[in-house]
Amino acid sequence: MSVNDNIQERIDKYIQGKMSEEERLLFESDLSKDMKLKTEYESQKEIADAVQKVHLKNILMNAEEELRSSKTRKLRSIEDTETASHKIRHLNFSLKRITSLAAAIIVIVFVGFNVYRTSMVKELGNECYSQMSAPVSRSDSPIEANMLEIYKQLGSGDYSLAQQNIQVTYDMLDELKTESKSLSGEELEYITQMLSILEQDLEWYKVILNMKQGKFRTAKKQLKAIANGNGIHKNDAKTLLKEKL
Amino acid sequence: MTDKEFIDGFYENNDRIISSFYKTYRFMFTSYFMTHYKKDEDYVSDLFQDSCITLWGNITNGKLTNDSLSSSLSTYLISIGKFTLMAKDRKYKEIVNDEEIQKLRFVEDDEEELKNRMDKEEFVYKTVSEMKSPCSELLTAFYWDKMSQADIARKMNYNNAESVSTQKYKCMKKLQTLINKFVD
Repeated sequence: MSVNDNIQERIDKYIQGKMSEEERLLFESDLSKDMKLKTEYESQKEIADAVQKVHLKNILMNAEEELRSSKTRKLRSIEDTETASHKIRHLNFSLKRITSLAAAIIVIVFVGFNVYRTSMVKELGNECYSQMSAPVSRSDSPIEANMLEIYKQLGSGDYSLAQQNIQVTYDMLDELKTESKSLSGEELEYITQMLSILEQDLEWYKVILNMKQGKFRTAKKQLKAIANGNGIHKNDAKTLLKEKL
Repeated sequence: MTDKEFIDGFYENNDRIISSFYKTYRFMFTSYFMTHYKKDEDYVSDLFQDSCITLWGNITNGKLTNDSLSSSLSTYLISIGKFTLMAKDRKYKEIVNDEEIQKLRFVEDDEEELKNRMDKEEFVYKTVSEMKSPCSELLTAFYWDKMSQADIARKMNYNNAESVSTQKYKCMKKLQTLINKFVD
């Protein structure tokens, strides 16, 4: 081993605190006396310190990098979550919009269809009315007078009056049915048939009234009842249900 | 980890403990200086690293030990930060009167001498940091990890401890030659 190696090793031993107490005291004594040793020591110490500080700096910078990466990952995670939440919110919002739009379209279609159907039923009501002839009204028959009145009211569009008159006429028919129980024979048979016809006409007036008001479902229900019966308007009802409704 | 464990870790050049220390105190330190001195995060991050290096120096040269620590390590660290800030930025000179700072000051009060010494240190640091292989690994293993030359020989595939010694001598001489240019 060269002298220089020995000096370097001796200095290193001192720098690293590996000297015994005796060695340390001797070295420090030599330092105070030997300028060359002192210069070498200071140079070596400088380098030893710098080597350690460079490595220490790397540790600290790596730790800083790890913290920033962790922060970035957390931020990204938050952003991703926010982005995902935003996307979900946007999707929900879009879905809501689509659902609302679909609902609106359905409502519009439904309303539109109903408007069309209402319009169609009203036209049908007008058509059926135009095919009717005015009922005969004898001066001594209040029921026939009412029937004529109802006919006229259906024609002029006085639907609420027609509705009231229909109910009044039903009441009158009920009264007459009650009164006719005291009759018998041909007279009873005649009254019964007449009341039946009047009742069926009144029922038909109700259908036309409902059709002219655009009440599709009510009119259809009534027509079905008439079509399933054995009245004078059965065939008319069947035709209407089959071809128009 | 306790203050004692951190101080011991610095003294033993324990990479893991030093890294843990950094991560433990970084937020506290940077928040303090960003709030009180209105510095941006990059500045205080550098300040924190410089303060950690000063702390390491104080521990390894015996200036700070578990017995001599009179406050918490975080308080001591903040004091180092203030001193380092003062050294970096002259407008914070007023904090030099802080008693805690006085304990941390270098022996020389002559600012000129202090500046010269710091400039030299900076130059040596820069020269060492630019070292290439195998000198950087060899000298780090020797001075930081405190490995024996025999262990270094095994780790770095040298024939024997003497080969390591010879290489180390060459590395040191090379550095000394470069550093002496500063003096010249």
